[in-house]
Amino acid sequence: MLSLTLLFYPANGLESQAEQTQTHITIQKISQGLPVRLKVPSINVDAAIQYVGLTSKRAMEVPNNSVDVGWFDLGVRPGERGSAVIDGHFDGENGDSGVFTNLYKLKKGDKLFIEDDKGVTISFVVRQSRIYAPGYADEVFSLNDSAHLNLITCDGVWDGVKKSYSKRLVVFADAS
Amino acid sequence: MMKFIFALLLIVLIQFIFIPIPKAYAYSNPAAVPLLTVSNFAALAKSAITNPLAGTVLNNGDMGLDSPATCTGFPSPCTGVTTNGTLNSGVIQYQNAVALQGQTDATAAVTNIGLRAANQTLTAQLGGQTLTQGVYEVPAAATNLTGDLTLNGDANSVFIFHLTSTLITDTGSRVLLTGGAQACNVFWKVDSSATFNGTTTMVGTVLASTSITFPAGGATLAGRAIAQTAAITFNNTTVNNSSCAAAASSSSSSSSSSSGGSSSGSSVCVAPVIKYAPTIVESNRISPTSIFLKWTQADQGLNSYIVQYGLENNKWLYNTIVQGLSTTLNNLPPNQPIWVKVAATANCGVVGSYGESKLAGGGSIGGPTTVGQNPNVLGVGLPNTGFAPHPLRREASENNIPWFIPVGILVGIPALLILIQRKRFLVRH
Repeated sequence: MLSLTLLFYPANGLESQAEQTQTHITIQKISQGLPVRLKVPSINVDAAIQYVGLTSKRAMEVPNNSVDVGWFDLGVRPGERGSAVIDGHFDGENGDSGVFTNLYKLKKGDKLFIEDDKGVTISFVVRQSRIYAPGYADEVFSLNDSAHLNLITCDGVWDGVKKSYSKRLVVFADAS
Repeated sequence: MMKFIFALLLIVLIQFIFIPIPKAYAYSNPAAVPLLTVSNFAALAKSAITNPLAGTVLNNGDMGLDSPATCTGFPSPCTGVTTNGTLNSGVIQYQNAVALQGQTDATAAVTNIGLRAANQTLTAQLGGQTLTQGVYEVPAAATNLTGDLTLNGDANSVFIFHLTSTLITDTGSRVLLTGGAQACNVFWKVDSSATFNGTTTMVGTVLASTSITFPAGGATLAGRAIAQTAAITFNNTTVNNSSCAAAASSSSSSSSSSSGGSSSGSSVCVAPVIKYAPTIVESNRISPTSIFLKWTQADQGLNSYIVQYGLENNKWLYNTIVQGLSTTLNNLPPNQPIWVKVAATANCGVVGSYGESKLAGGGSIGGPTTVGQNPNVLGVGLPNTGFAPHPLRREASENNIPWFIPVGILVGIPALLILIQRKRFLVRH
């Protein structure tokens, strides 16, 4: 399916690094399989994909270890029209690096790859990174003009009482 | 005066000749038994299908075998003399989900019949009788049918027989349909096994609790042979699966001409024509194993729908009856889209035409709008992906202070103080 998409990103977000306006053509790939692996060569990520859903507080669940990533399986699959969402830990429990420790280093144009269980690889290109406060961010999950892949990890400072970082980093990518 | 009386008689005579008089039945017409996917089968067995003689033909329906089962005398995957049996317009559902669903639906049909009170308990020997619509109980006998049993009615007349033990027919026995009665409206619930000897001509859907046997002789069944827990044995047997399509149209014309008035005073089943098929307009994945569906209403006033679904288009493994315009399908294979189609149903077991089948789930149905309407991706909180950071590791990028600065300060200042103290000590001494 060939779609011409005009995207406009408002500049009033938190620490937005987004380019303001862009026009691009995307070729949407439909993966018939289920995602099994995420590869981000520019930050040496090659991680297995767990399937995650929602917590009791309706937040996206996270993978049960710091080396895998979690695909939000209540949304679309990577490559389908819509926003596929994958999260990963920023750091490990014992002080090791998490799979997404270096996610903040991704920049526009970097490539992401999803491998599915049928051996098909779907590629995405980073469009922007953006930092959010914890909470709802529908545009991360529901943008459905074409096929997107959004990666999420923590950012900001650690709050020992809340057991949470103060911010969330989201990397937006589009099917290429 | 004589002329007036003559004219009156003439009018009465004309009325007798040209105005049809409704048939008088002893019992109100029972609703047809909902067969669901059983209607797709000419034969469905549990443990085995055996066909040792050539000449068996199953027309217009599938042959199903639940797992585990053996099959001989039909084409592959059956073994033995595979040319003995032929299927026309049907396939072999061999130990698969279709056969399993068929057995599930057969159980539902048997339960349905079992809940109906009999209008009459017949003698065990049915031969020589003429029956009209109704629910009949038949006790056990060495032979239940010798000669002819006549079922007289119209296209909508439903005949339900509950055999409390076996159903056994003699060779040459026949079940005859008169007055427009249809084989699709005849149902036999057999609490044990059924045996149709010799050249028996049988009619209806036979739901036998145990087994069904057609000994050698060339028996014919206009209906379906369903053995719930054991085997079916064919011998030069012909089974013609029959559908009720003609009943709906003929009855609808009669009901429209009478505006339903003729049926208002009784429980006669009036089957309508269902003109419009429902359209699936929304599907949302509720969980990895659940998908929500919504469709448009078919004809005005119809609120009962049948939903069929499976993993491939046109391979419908499951179905469910729904009251209303939406449902959630549960216990699905995790995270797999499914194919779905919906039709309206009405009384008399009539099923309308199915709307377009669609791929549902995973956001794949119908393009972007359904994905956009997916309630699962709205109002979702961003995840908490952090563990407590290690003291010697940097924190996240916003406060990206190099770790060596505080460490250097902590280590450097005491070291400097020690050096100064040491220098003073050396100067004094």
